[in-house]
Amino acid sequence: MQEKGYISMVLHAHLPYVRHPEYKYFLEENWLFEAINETYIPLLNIFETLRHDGVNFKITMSLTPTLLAMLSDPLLQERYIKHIDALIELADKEVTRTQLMADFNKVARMYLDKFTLNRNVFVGKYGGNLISGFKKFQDSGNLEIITCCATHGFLPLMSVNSKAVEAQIKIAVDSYERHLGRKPRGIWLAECGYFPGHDEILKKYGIQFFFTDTHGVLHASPRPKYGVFAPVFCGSGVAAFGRDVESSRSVWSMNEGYPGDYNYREFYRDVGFDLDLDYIRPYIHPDGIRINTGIKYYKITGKTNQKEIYNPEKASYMAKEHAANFHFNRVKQVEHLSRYMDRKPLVVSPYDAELFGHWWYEGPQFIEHFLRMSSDSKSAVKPITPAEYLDMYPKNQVVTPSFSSWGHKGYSEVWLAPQNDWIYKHLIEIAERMVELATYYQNQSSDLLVNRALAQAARELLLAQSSDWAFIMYNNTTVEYAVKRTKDHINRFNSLYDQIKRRRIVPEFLQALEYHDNIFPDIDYRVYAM
Amino acid sequence: MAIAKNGKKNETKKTSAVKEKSAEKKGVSGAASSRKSIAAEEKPLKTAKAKAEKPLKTEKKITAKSAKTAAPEKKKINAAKMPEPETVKKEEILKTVKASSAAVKTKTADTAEVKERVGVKKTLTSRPKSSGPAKTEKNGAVSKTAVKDEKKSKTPAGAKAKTAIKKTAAEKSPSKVQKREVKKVVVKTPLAKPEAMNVISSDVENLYGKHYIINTAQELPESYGKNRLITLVRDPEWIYTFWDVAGETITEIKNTMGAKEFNDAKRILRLYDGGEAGNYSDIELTDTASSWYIHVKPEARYVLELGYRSKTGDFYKMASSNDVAMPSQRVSEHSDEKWMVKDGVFEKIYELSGGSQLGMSSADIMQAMARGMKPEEFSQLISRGISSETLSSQFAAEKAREEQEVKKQRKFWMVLNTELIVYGATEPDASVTLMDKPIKLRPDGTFSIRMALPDGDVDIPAVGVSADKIDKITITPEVHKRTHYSKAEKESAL
Repeated sequence: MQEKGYISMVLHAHLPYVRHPEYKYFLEENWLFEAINETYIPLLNIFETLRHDGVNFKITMSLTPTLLAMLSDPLLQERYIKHIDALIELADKEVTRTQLMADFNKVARMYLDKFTLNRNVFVGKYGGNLISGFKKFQDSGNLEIITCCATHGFLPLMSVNSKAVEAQIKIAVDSYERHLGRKPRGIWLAECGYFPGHDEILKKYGIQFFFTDTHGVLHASPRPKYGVFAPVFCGSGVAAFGRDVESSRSVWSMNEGYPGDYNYREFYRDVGFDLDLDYIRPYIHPDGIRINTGIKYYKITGKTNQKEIYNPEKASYMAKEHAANFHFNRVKQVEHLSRYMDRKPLVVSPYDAELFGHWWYEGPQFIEHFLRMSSDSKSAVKPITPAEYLDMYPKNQVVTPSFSSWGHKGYSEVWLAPQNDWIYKHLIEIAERMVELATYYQNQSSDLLVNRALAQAARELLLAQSSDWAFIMYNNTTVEYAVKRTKDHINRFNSLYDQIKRRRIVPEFLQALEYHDNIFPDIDYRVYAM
Repeated sequence: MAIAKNGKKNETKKTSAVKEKSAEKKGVSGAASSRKSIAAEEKPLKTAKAKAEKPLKTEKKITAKSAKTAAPEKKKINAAKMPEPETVKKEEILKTVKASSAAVKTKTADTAEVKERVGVKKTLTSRPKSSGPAKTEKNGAVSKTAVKDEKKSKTPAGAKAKTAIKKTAAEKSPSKVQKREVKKVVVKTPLAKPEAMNVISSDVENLYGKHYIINTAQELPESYGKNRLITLVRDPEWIYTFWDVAGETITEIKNTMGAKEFNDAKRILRLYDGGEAGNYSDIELTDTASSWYIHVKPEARYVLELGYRSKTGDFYKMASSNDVAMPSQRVSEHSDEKWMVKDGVFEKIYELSGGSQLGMSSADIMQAMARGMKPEEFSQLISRGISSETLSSQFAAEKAREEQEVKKQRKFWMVLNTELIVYGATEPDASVTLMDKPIKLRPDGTFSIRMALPDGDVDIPAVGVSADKIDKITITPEVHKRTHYSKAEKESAL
C-alpha cells in the first residue's frame, strides 16, 4: 500500500551542563548517568536491533551542545562507569537477597542483565563515547541529529541582544560540527522558543528548519493553509514545523494514557528508599541520604500504595499493544487529514527524549515497536525526517510564525515569573558587556592571556544563560543549585570583565575557571563582536 | 503535575500581595486578570506577609486602557509594594548557608560545599579575608605567593593529594592553551585513566579552586551604574520591564528640578501604545521598585520610558526601553492570496490541528490532559514532558511526593520487613554452596548471605566441601516465618 501520510518523531535529548570536578561525588551529575542508563543506551540498543532486523526506520533527535559536551567528557565518562559498576554490584546483591522470592528475583535478574549490558555497550561498543553511537545511525540514514541552542538558552528572552542570540546558534553549530563531522540541517530551539526574526540568524548559519509549538504555526500570519500538517517557510526561507496536538495526546491522554498503564513500572518505589539503610548505604548519597538508585520492583498498579510486583514480560507486551494503538490512530489521523489536503500530511510528534526510559521505563520498547510497524511497507503512515519531507515538498507557504514556546501557557512565563525574573537584569547586562569586550578586542593584537580570558567570559555567559536554571526556580525543585549556578556564572563573568578591562587578569583565577567551566574548548568569542 | 501545581501555588501567592483598587471599574480584561482581582479582594495588600512567606516579587499591573483614559495625577493603579530585591537575595543566601536538615535531601551538594568552605577558611586564615573579584584584582600580585603557601601548608586531602599535586604540577606546567589542545585530543580517546583525572581535579582544587571560585557565591551587583530600561514580552498580554539608573542621573534631575519640585515628583513608567508619541499612559512606581509587570493588549507595539513627572506635568526622562511587539493570540485574519483556500477547509484543518482547543495554548491542553492521568503520581512527571527537561523534574516530582508523604503520615503507618542473614566459616580453601548456589568465601574462610525472608517454610542447606573434595559437611536451618498484622485505633479523647 502506498503511504497516505508521514510522521516525524522528534526526541529532544538535553541536560544542563553539570560537571563538578571539584567534588568526588556530586548528586546532580546523576541526571546524566540516569539518562545514559535508562534512555540513551536503550535508544541506541533499539536502533541497533531495528537495523539488525533490516527495518529502515526514521527518527529525529536533538542532542544539545551541553549534552554532547558531557557525553564526550572523560571525567563524566569515567564517573558513569563508576556509577554503573556500583549498580551492577547492587543488582548482583539483589539477586542473592531475593532468592527466596521468585517474582522479585526475576526483576532483580532483569536489572543485573540490563546494567551489565549497559556497561558492555558503553565501554565495549562505543568506547565510552555514546556520540559515536548516535553518529553511526545518522550515517546509516536512520537518525537525523539536529542541534539546539548552545547552552539551551531561551532565545525569546534574549532577543534584545541579537548577538547573544547569534552566539547561542553559532556555537551550537560549531559544537555539532566538531562532534558529528558535518553541519546540522535542523535545530530544536530550546523550550521550542521561537521569536519572530530569529529565523534570519538560523539562516545565516545554514540551518534549514526548526520546530514550534502548535500555536506558533497556527497563529502565524498569514494563516497557514495546512495548519500544522505541513511545514511553513519564514521570510528567510527557513522552515518551521508545528507540533501536532493529537499525537501528543495519544501518548499522554487520560483515555489512552500509555505510560500510566497498570502494568508499567512504577517510578516512585525505589530500593534506595525501601531497603534497610545499612544495606543500601554504599549505593546512595555518601552522607546517607536516600536517593533513587534505579532498581524498582513494582508496577504502577493503582492509586494506592499497595503495589504489585513488576512483570517485565507483561510490561513489554503492553508496550507493543500501545505502539499498535498509536500506529492505528496515526493511520486514521493521516487518512482523515488527507481528505482536506492536496498533499500528504505530516504529523510532527516531539517529546523529551528522557521521557522514554527514564520516566516511562518501557518507552524505548514502545518506540521500537512503533518504528517497526510504521516502517513496514504496508503501513499507511510512514516515519520520515523533517529534512526528507522538505526534500519531497520543497514548495511551502511563506508565513511569519508567532512567538511561542512549549512551556506552560505557551510563551515565556515559565522563564519569566516572580521566582526567576531577577536573573534578566544580570543576563542582559553581561551579554551586553560581552559584546562590548568582543567588539573592542576583536582587532587588537592578540595577547594570549586576554584571548583566553575573553573566551572564558563567553563560556560563563553562555552557562549563565541556560534556561534550565530559570526552569528549576519556577518549578521549585533544586532551587538552591539553580540559583547558585546562575550567580556563580554571572559573578565569574563579572570578575573576568573587570580583570580584562583593568588589564589585570589573574592567571590562576582564569585557569581555575577554565578547569571548572570547560565547555566549548574551541569557542571563538568574536561571535559577539559588532 | 509539577508545573500546573506550582504555577497555581505561585499565582495565589502573587495575588495575595496585589493591591487591586478598582479592577472591575477599569474593566480588567483577560482570564488571568480577573482571577487575580478575585484573589485580591479576599486578601487586600499583605505585602509583609508575602515577604515573609517567600521571597517572591510582587506582580503589579495596569490595564493599558484604563491607564490611558484616567487623569495622570490620580492614576495610581494597582501599585502594590514590592518586596525589595535585597530581601530576596539575602534569604536565598541564608538558605544556602544554613542548609537546614529538611532541605538536605535535594541539596546535598550545597551542604557539602558549605562544609568545605568552612574548612578552607580555617586553613587560609593567614590570607586576606575578603574573597571574590574585588580581591583578586587587588591582590593580583599577592595571590601567587599565597597559592604557593597554600600548597605547602594545606593538606586537607591528606598525603594522597600531596603526591597528586606533585605529579600533575609537572605535567601541567605548560600554558592553558596547550592544555586545551591536549584536551581536544583526549576527547577523541574516549577514556582517560581515572587516577589521572582525580589528580588533576584535586590539584586545581587545592591550588585555586576553592579560593577563587567556590567563594564567589556572593551577591550579584545591585546596580551596574548605567541608565537602562529593558522590556521583555512574557505572553500576549503581559510585559515585564526592569531598569537600572545611575546615581548621578537622579542627582542631575534633582538639581534641574529643584529639591522641592523633586520631592513632589512621581517616579513613573510612561507606556507608549503603538510607539506613538502622543498615545501614552503613566504608571506611578513605588519607591523601591526596580521592575514591573504591565498588562497590555495582544498584537500591539509598545515602548516605555522611565523618568520623573513633576507636579506640573513635566517629564524628566531617565531611560527609554527597546520597543516590543506583542504576539497574537488567535489565528490570523490575513489569508495569503496566493494560497486561497476553499471556504470551510481551513476551519477543518484548524480544528484538526487542535486549534479549537487552543484557547490558552497547546501546552495548557496537554497539561489539562496530563492532570487527568490514571495514576496520580504520573501526572507529576508529565509536566516535564510538556515543557522539557525531564530529568530535573524528577526532583520536582520527588519533592511533591515527599510533601504527599508528609501528609499521609497524619494517618499513622508502619512497614515491617524481615531479612535473614546466614553466616558461617570454614577452611579458606573450601568451597561452599548455599541452597545449591556457590558462594564466595572471604579470605579468612568466613561467609555471609543476606536474604529477604517471605512468609512460609524454607530449608536453607549449606554444604561445605574441603579443598581435596574428601570432606563434606551439610548444615540445614529450617526457617518458619509467619507475620501477624493487627491494627487498633484508640478512641480519640473528645
